[in-house]
Amino acid sequence: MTTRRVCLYSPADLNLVSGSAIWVQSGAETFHVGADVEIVLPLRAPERRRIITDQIRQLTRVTLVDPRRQRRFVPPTGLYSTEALDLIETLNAEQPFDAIVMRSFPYCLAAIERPSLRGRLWSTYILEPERDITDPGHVAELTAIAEASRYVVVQSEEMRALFEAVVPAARGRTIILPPAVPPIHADAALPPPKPRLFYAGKFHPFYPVPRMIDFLETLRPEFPELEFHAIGDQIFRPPDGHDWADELERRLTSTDGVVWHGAVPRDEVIRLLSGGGIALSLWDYGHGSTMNDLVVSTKLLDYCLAGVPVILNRTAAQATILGADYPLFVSTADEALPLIRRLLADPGLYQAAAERCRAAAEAFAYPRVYAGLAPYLEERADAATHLAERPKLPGSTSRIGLPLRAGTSSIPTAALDVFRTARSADAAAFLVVGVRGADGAGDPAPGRDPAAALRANLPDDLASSISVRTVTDPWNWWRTLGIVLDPGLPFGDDESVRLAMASGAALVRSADALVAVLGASADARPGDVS
Amino acid sequence: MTDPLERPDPGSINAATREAVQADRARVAAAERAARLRRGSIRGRLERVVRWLRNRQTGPVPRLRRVASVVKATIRARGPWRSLPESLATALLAPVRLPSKPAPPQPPRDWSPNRIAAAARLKQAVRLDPAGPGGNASPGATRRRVVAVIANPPDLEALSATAEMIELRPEDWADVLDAMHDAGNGPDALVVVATEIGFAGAWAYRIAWAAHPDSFLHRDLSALIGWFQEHDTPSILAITDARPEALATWGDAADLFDLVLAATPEAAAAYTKRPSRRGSEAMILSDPLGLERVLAALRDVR
Repeated sequence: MTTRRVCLYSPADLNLVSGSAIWVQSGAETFHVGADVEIVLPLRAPERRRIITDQIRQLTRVTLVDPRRQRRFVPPTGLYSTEALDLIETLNAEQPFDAIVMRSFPYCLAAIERPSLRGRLWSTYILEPERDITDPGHVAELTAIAEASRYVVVQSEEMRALFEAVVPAARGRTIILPPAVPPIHADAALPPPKPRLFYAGKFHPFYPVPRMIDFLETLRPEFPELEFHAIGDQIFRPPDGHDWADELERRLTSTDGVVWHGAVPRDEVIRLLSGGGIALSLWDYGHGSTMNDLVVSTKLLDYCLAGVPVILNRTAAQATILGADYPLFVSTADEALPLIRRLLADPGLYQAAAERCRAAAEAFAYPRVYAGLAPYLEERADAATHLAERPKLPGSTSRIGLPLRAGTSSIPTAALDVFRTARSADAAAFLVVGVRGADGAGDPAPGRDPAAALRANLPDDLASSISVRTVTDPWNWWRTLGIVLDPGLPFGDDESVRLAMASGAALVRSADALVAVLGASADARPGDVS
Repeated sequence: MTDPLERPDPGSINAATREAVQADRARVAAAERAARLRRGSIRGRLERVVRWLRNRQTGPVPRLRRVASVVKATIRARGPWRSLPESLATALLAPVRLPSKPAPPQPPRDWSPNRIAAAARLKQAVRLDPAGPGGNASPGATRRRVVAVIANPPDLEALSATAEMIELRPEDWADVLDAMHDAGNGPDALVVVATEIGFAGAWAYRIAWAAHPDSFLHRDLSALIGWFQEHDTPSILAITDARPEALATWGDAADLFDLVLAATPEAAAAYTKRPSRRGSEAMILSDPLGLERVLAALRDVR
């Protein structure tokens, strides 16, 4: 087997314990699962604390590169982006990398200017919630990165869907690398219920830690043993005033029942959590982008790995991880208080939620996550098929796609006849006619789709069950369809049909086949688009 | 779309919007002035010194802690001794700043001007309701009401008893609405009914939350509501969904509408409290659903 050399770089300072720094550790552990993968990890800042780097050193095929190799005196803030890229170029010249996994938008933007790095760059997490994706200038920069990268790496399926919609150049080259956790031992028992609340992570107004301390104070008269354990030491200090941070520090250090552990290694966090308790992962949307809804939270995975129940906001990514029916979702932070009270009084609920969390963590174990990356890193022949595999959306099973090539002027009568038969057998059947958009053309203006001209000759009995649209993003279009009608009607190229098949859509040509597929899917049909 | 602040129709809702924006700007300027004065005063400077002394990243205590950490780590690792002086100097003297994103998080956006404009549009629409104050006397009541609607068939039936319903489709709604407006028969309101079973057909994945960019970006819905705002016509979302996950399912879409009618008082409060909500206060949806009830709710708009 060929040895693959991976350079993993993040501008996170590994002297500080934060989600980004933990992600570096998690990334190194994930790539280390590949038996023939060597990881080179240049550090941004000189080591001052070894909380994270000592854990990485335990991985035999990981090489940490001191930034002082690039510059004799490195300030504690670390190398500037240019210096970091110089260092990576030097390392690449000494022994070329197969993949350069680089995190953060500005670094990737700078990296694509370097010819030696282009083409092998895996631009990672460049869709940052703090930046405005409706700004054309920013979209142009994202497009430039996508065009120059081997792959664009995102955290979740939802993030991939959004990124490919905003940056068409990324379609077909966006892959998923979520944060990961160590594999769970089969015999690991769930921790017992304990009157403890946990928060691990950075302190920022987006995470309403003061509200969590309020919960503690409210509940202490009912549950005198209750404690709130806060883990982390990175406190956000807004440039316009430190009142929030000062007040938080005061409460963390002076409130009865609060135990502030400061920065501790990830293993220690898991160990603390494994003592039992209730973890809190609450967000305040007044202080952060709703794009965070698409992000997989490292702290959530840590909580889940420890097997403690987590009270958290209902978001897209988190509902996917824990299941829409997970009992401890909240819409606002205030809703957490009654749930904490219930969990403290109801061991059954505690147990059920903890089991769900533990099971959810398994999908993010290092080997599972590496398996999703291996086809791309190892440049396997089936990498393209893996790229096309996308989960179907709820409610898509009764939606039938009819792909037509660009410039088609009418819907084939044969296809309408097949659909009429299917519709009489299943009233929920819905036909979506997709006309391939011309190459290079953008999305049509809302409400003015040129494909609407196809509606002119629709028969009255079917018109309300048929929708037409110009398709510029087939990757996301297939996700909304459970069935594709007659691939013999070319959609534009064989690639599109291959994508449809890889996406798991059932391909049918006759009315009988369509009715049979609809009938088979009816039992499992959620019947709801929500 | 014309910016509501740029439209030259003084005395209308835009004047109210303009006033709200000006008041808002004056408030921000006054706050900035006060902050500047405070920073320059002796008390302000003393506060900064005290804050530095207590600072957990750049203050003296963490610097000394870092020195101890360097010494301890070097002794434990038995080296590297050569770089010890440099490491100590770095730990003690260098300015330390947490790495931060280039764009700092913005404070929550103030949607008050949009809310005022939304309330004005809704108040205007009261004329559609014959039972409302001045309903029959208003010129709008002299013709049959026209309501643009997105709804499933049963809801459409409930709504259509007393008005002409124009069903909108995602592919051609703009052309349809423009043609109606040019013919002097533009719709009097947009009513979208968000039901438990969702929009299983044409608008699937475009209104309710779904892991799909049509839903994340709300390109269709934003443009549609924008068309109605441009024509000073209200947009109303009726949510009969009372499941616990209803807020997550419909919340993003609900933020855009002038008025949200929710199934329960708790749900109405939750939709109103969303930081990105730019319409009026959400209200309770009367049961059973009907256009008369939707319009009657407009009388209580705040």
